[in-house]
Amino acid sequence: MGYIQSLIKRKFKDIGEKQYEKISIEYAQFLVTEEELEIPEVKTILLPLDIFATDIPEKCMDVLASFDKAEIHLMYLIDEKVTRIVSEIIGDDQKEQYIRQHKDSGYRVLGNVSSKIEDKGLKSRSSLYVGMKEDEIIRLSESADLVVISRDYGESTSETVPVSPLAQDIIRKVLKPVILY
Amino acid sequence: MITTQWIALTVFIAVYVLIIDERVHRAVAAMAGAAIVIFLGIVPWEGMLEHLDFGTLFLLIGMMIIINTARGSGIFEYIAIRTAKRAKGSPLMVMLLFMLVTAVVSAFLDNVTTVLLLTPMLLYITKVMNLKPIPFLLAEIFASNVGGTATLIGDPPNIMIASASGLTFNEFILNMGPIVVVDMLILIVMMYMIYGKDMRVSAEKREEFVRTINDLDEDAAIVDRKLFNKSIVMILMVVFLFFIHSNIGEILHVFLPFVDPTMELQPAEVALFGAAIFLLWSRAQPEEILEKVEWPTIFFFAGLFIVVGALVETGLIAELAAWIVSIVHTEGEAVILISWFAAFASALVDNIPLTATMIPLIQDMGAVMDTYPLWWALSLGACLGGNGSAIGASANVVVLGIADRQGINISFVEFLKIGLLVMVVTVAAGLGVLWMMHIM
Repeated sequence: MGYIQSLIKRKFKDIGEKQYEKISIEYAQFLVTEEELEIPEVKTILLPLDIFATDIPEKCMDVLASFDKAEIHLMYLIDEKVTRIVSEIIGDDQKEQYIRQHKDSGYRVLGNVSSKIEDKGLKSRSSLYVGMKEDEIIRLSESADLVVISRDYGESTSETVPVSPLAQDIIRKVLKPVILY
Repeated sequence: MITTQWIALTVFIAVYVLIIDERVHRAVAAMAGAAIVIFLGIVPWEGMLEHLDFGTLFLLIGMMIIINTARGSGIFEYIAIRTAKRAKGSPLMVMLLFMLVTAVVSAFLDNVTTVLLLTPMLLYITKVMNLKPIPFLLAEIFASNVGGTATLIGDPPNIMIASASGLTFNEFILNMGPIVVVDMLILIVMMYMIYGKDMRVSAEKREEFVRTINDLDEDAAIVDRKLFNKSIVMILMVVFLFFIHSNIGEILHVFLPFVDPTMELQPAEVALFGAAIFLLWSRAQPEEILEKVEWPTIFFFAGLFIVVGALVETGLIAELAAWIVSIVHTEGEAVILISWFAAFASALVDNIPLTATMIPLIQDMGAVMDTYPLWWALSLGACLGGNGSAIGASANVVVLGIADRQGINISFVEFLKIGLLVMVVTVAAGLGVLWMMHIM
């Protein structure tokens, strides 16, 4: 039967092998790979929020709902770079005022998102930091199993820039799996 | 036999052996054979042009251009994902729906392209569902060969038969369509009886499968939305033109009185017209699309026509036809002989060279009997005979090749056991329908 098997290989090579290779590449762009089909155990999900990313779309909530045993760590970050600029240009008092105002809106965002998550029957905890966004997320991601981040994180997006440069940087540097919404 | 007959026959057999063995590319084998008979003057220049069946060659080229342009839109991947989702997690439904989609797509596009595009999706589904893929792959092969039998453009043997005989698209649908419907029903029942018991999965698995497949976004498969829409319009338009190609003059005459009402379009003209309009409308790069035309296949056909032409030129085919006519006295006997011979011979060798050889034979038999039912017998045998063995048709080889690349081994004997059974049952049923339509 060795001859027949090698005959089929030869015929396949002549009839459709090249076309098949191209089609395989096309399929690979939207079919989930075997590795991706294995759902990893997720205990902690890091979900950074900020002034640009203030809500989670319903489709993303449905994805989060599939990790029903995980705790979602909602983290609102106030950009330290901005506070430093405010301090240097206008003064320390204005910086404190800026932080206060943003803390208020930050807690509001955390409260809204947290209640949405709890409505889905998921556990969550919230925290608010003033810090360097990229550094903080990378640091905290080390203790998380999954990072869920908005494409608007850190900067608003446009048609030509559908993912903010900061979100792109974070995705590149974080060593854990990332869901971009 | 005279010397030229011996040479023509030797070249023909040598080319056949090389095509079967495929150590030399089939196109090269056919071209080399053609080169010898031309070099030795067995087929003169005028004869060469006569034997080259431009109807077949241009129809193949036109359809290849249309399909390759449409493929860039992601339309076929879209169909595959939609089919997978429709199955709703049931393995039986996966098999049934993929068989039906394969049969319908194969009827209007070539079988190789159909299975090339659907097999990766089918393998993916069986992997997700943790099912044995072999039953699904075999069902796909059989459905492709049966579906392709239904229309003039469904399978290369039908294209060759139509070009040589002048049979129209509608005649194919009316004559082969009922046979294919009956054979598809038989095939579905056979697949259920053979593999039905292996198709059960737990409710949990089924749910998991539905979740995974539902995560697939068919819209993500669409690479170019505009081209996608244009592809649908163009494929429908070309199929519509095939339906009216034989009486297009009458239709056009109503709107454009200067058009001759007796005018007919050849199927090849329809394909080339569709290809030209699609290239113009899609704004696709012609270099890119024309590069994708399977030129080795075109040259394979061309070479084959000349090698068979040498048999015609030397009178061998006429002698063989006379011998057959001396032992076969009625159209009914000829229908039985041609369909079964074509079926078993197609299972052994590729059905394309077989059809190329049988066509001049039937043409010569036309001197003493009505060839109309004989063409259907040849189509029936050549197309369905492809199911008989792993090397019987190009679609079989492609699916088995893809399976092999994925580490799934379908042995020749394993294929033969089911394939031969499917071939005998479907040819017998088809012959029964043919008999009722033309002989009774």
